[in-house]
Amino acid sequence: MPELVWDELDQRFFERGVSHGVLYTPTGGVYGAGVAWSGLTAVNESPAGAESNKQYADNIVYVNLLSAEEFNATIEAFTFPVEFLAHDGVAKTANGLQIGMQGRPTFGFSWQNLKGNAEDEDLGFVLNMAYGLQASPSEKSNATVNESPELKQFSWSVSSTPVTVPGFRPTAIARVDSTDPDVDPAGLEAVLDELYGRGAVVTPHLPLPDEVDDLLAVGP
Amino acid sequence: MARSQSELKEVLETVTDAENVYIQPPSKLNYPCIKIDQDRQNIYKYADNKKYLLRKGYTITVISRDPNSPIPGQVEALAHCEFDRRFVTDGLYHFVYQLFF
Repeated sequence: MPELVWDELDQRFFERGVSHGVLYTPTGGVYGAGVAWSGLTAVNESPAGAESNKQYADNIVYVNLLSAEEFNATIEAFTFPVEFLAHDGVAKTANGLQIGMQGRPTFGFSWQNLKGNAEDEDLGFVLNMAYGLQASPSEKSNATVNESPELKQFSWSVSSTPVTVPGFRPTAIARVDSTDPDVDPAGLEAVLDELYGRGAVVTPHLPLPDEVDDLLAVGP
Repeated sequence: MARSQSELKEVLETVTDAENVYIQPPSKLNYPCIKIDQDRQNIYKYADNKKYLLRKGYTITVISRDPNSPIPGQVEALAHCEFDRRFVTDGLYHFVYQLFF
């Protein structure tokens, strides 16, 4: 076994930033009709669950059962695509009237984080894909214009309903790290084509996790 | 992403009584006048790993022989404008403002 070494330059990895937000509206179980989400300022993940539930017997911890995990997050942005109104509980009439406090159908969402190391801060990216999300009502602050330019910051708390993944537990979040040596660049390009409607892909859509895995395996 | 100095000049010419608004002042100024200097720190708002919005920082100086000129108040009424200082030189009243445009 070689001796362990810490903090080599090419191993000093870090992640930063958020970009390439895309909203997907599911129809018939297919996350299609992807639209670009501009003005994204933060995606704060706050997973829950996996809580310890110790069972005692014979005066010892007999087994430690963990509760099911949940994926929750907060999306923050300066703006949002008009298609998101429906997912934010807003119905729109043919005349443009926006009526709040309506239903909140599920949606899919993808975004990217930059990944770098001490030698190259733009080494690659991490692609995040979230499924079965539902946005909760959140505070919207409307403040006066003043001497310092400020923008209205939108924020949505989202919870999730996991989707099934053959061979694995259901999940609401899947990721691909472009710097992972197990990831075939051609396969990743095929995934990005599907997500962003590039190349021969007509409609941007969010493949389910097993479909993403198939794309990563065979490429375009 | 940000509006130009020329657009700021047009705004100042429209909303104030000043007939002389200078980006590049001549050697001899006509009073009352407004000088525009883009010498303040700009304000950026970031999103999508980019500079999503830019507002340029300006120093706006109103120079008048009249201490009660209405022009300083007209400048101060602009959004994102804040009074900085006032001083008198050679009988000329200077009213200095910080403005983001």
